[in-house]
Amino acid sequence: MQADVIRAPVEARCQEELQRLQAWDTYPKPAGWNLSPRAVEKFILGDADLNIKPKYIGDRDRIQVAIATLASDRALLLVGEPGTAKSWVSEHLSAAICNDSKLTIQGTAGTTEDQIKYSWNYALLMAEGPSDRSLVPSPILTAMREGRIARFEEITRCVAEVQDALISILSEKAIAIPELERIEYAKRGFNIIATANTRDRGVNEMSSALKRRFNFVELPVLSDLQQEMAVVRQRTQEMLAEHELQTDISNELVETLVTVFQELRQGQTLDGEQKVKTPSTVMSTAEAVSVLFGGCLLATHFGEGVVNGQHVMRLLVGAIAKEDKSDLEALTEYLETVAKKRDGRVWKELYETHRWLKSL
Amino acid sequence: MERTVRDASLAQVALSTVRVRGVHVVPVRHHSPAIARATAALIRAVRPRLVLIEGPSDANHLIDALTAPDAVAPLALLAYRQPQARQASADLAPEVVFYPFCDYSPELVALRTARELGIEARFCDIPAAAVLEHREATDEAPSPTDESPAPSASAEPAPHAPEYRLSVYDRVAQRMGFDDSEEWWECLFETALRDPNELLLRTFEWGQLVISDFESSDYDALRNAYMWKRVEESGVPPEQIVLVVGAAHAAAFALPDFRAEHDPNHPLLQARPADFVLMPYSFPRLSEQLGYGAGNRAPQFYQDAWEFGSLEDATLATLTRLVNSMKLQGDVASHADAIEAFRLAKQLAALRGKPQPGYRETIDAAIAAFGRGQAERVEKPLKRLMIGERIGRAPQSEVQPPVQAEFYRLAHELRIPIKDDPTDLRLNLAEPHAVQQSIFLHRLAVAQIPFAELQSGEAATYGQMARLREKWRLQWTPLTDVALAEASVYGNTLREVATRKIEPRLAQRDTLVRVSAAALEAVLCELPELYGTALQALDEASIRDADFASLARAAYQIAGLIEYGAARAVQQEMFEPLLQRVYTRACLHLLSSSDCGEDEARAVGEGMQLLHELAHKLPYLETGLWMENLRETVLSERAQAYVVGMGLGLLGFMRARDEELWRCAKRMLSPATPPEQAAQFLEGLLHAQSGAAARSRPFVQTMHEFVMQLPDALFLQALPMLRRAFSKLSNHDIHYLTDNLLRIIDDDVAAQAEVEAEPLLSREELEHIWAQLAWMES
Repeated sequence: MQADVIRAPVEARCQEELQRLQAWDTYPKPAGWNLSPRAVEKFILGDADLNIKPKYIGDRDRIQVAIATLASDRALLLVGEPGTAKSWVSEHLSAAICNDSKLTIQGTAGTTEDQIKYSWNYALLMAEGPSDRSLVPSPILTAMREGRIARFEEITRCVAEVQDALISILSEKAIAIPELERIEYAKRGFNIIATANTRDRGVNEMSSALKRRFNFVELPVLSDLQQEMAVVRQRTQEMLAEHELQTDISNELVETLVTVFQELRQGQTLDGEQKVKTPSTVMSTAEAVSVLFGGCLLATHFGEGVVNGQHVMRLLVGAIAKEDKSDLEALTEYLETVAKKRDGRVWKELYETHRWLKSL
Repeated sequence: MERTVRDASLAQVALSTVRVRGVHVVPVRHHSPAIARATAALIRAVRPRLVLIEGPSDANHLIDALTAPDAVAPLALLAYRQPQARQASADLAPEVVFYPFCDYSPELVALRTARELGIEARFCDIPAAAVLEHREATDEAPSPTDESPAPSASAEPAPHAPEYRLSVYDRVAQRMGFDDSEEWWECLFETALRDPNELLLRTFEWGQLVISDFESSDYDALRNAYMWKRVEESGVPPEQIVLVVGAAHAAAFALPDFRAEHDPNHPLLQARPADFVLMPYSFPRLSEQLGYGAGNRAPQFYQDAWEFGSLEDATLATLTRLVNSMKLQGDVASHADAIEAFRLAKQLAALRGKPQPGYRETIDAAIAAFGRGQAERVEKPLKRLMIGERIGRAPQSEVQPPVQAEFYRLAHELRIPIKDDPTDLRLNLAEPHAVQQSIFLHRLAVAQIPFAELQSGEAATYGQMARLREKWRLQWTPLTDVALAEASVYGNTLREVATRKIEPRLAQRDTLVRVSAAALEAVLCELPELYGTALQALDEASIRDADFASLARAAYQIAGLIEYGAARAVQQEMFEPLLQRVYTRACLHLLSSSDCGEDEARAVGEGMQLLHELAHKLPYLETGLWMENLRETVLSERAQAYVVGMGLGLLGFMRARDEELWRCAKRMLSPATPPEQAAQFLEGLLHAQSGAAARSRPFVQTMHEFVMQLPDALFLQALPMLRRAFSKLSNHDIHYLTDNLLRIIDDDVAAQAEVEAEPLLSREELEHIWAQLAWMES
């Protein structure tokens, strides 16, 4: 399957790892779970002895809270800035717990209550009337029937009325189907993992009643420089390979770029000695990848094939000013008070282009 | 929930628990509810004739007070000695060591149980005087947060080296896969071992593990030998003695080669005696989180565990109380959240292999259920609930609390009058003695002790500090003593109290003005331990501040701090980089701040003058950056007129003969410019460079042409603003202005005479107009 598709589901990509964990796992499993909570933790965080690659690099306690929540009957809401692996973790948790990460609802402004509960095959409905054949279950209803995990991505993008349809599902663990004169009750093992973006609240805030049905786990932005460098480099090279491009990326450039992102994001230099102004825009790892990849394209198509600080700076300006042009002040201030004093070719290249910023 | 103290349920404790040479040894970890319960159970079961406890043997006279019915923990035995020094100094504080006790301290539980059963109880460790002597001999200056090296700390064998103390326990914990020793203890001991026998045995084994990892010092050997000597010399058969000591000491006693021999004439044991006071202590001070020793990160949480019987009950109590705390801070919370949080805490404990939820599970569950994933939402209320705010009550206090004693001693040594009539004291800070007086008085002021009030205005300006003189009004009242006694809860010394008062203000994300004020107080009180925090707070506050005027004032204050530094141990290189950053930020924000209303323009103008002075005065500031931004602002179309005038004046355009700047000036004084704006421009310019303006004939010419072209109605409208503008001129400036003006008028008259038979306005009339503008305000 993996050879034919662009992106196979996690349970297919990580099938061997899941099987190894199942063979190792002697701990008690909650009802409906394929693995015990400890085995799920190893799948997510990795285990060198069992040759399990880490899927998430970060705070172990947060992952433990997420897993412990799913083992209860309270739902899990993963929140965080864009680009902090919320969907990634949600996908991998589902795969580990119930071997199925595909029961997913994508929240948008156009999501309706039908997509949360059930809808109908209208041709069959008209031909046969309401029946099990004509009922089209939502991923949530399917998960309830089979005792699995359902995923609800970007829940806050849905309108409040649609979000609130979840309240009764999460309280009573049941969906009424009046057309078929029955109530469907969730099997043990059913739960919901939702994700929400803390930066862009979408159409509506969640109601207090709905919030109380969730335990919240915030996934923070990567703060370790080496880890983020590795992710940025790896992901950029994957994207270059997809586009069949070869561009030289120096380690110095990656380190400088990631340092800029971390320092602007955290509001202080990495040595902790100096505060810097943070722009209002998102400075996620995904943005860093985008900037570096864009710089590579500039270097390849309009340069000499070697990406440098000038290429990156042009993309950086766009990344920072995409929401508010006044964020450029933060970048200017950073370049004047921090970058200017640093040695290194790339730092010099970044600083020298800052005068060009003033003309914008 | 019924609040009763639950002792161990076992009626009989097996007499095969830890015995060393026949003595019943209770190996303890200090401030552990489980160990405290086991201690009480063992004493009740054994019913010894004598209970010996690791504590200063020169404080035995205070045991009755410590266990009195009206004594409320937390309490502390404070041992102190007056220092021996030649010169009076604000920093010459008493040497002190604290021995804190709370309800679940095994030592206090042992004392109380012994009293209840009518059993004799004594402290058996080396005297506190020896501890103080040891500190002095090893030249270890206790930090403001350093507590007793003896029983108040965890049961480490070498407590004189705080950094070493941490590494031993944390190393052991990390070897077993835990993040730190607190979590390790809670997981393997506090929650896991219900049976008191097993708990004490495992604690003893832990003590053996610790001493195997650590090389005993002479000091430790002396303590161990001294304590066991008390056992041998008690005259009580070993099997009728219960010895309550730290686990590492217990393990040391059990070593095959252990000997209780020590030199009774050891220098430490011959130290001059210490004084004691039994005083209230507080949970915040007990908390490890506030930097105090004693290794108890959540005193109230463990108090709940002690009172309700288990950590699980403490978890439930904390999460239940959190509901009201969250509501009080305006958050939505209900008991349903508490129920869910408790369930999650139990799940987490199971996942982490703990039989009961504890400290970490409580916090993690609170964040997930109450905090919606955000730790900062629950951080403050949780901290209050888990650390607690309890303050103990001592039944009596025979000796003055240390801060009070320090006040009277220093006032005497520094020759500061203590009278109940107001008395003025003038200080010239060029004299070292006056500097010490100043530091002492500023610390009193920061500690909010009603005694001294600074009279020479707010000493938070560069001007004040540069003059290096202070005037204080002093007056003692009974409130002075009350405040001094209360202040002892915050610290042992005035320095500590001042630090604790200022530090939170630096930690708050407050305005730049307030943070600057707190930083200045830290300098005035000479608290170099806060300079790093002050730097960070100032840096962060200036980052959040996008207002040019505020940044300029802050830069000026920081420059003042550096100027004042010589008298207050402030090193220039510490604050210089911060000044450079604030200065750079101010320069970069000038343009955006210049687009403002008339009221704000005055503040911006004041900031421009301050920054201009700094830019030209301090060689390590980049003058070019300021001048570049100043020019850009002046030439910008959106800058307010007063700001433009001020900027042109500071740029010295009249002397520089800069064509572009001259055009700007003429544009501002052109007929197309609204008179109010032109007047504001003039005001700004004359404020910055009145002398140069008055001397510059071309500029006076331009001003004259502007005034003359105004229609009568607009002239009258602009008159108040013009008068305000010209009010800045000195007599000297007026002389030059008049001279130039008269020459211009003469030329005008002559030019008009060539064109017309009679001038439109006579010379007297022209003079009269100018007289209204300037001379009436002089």
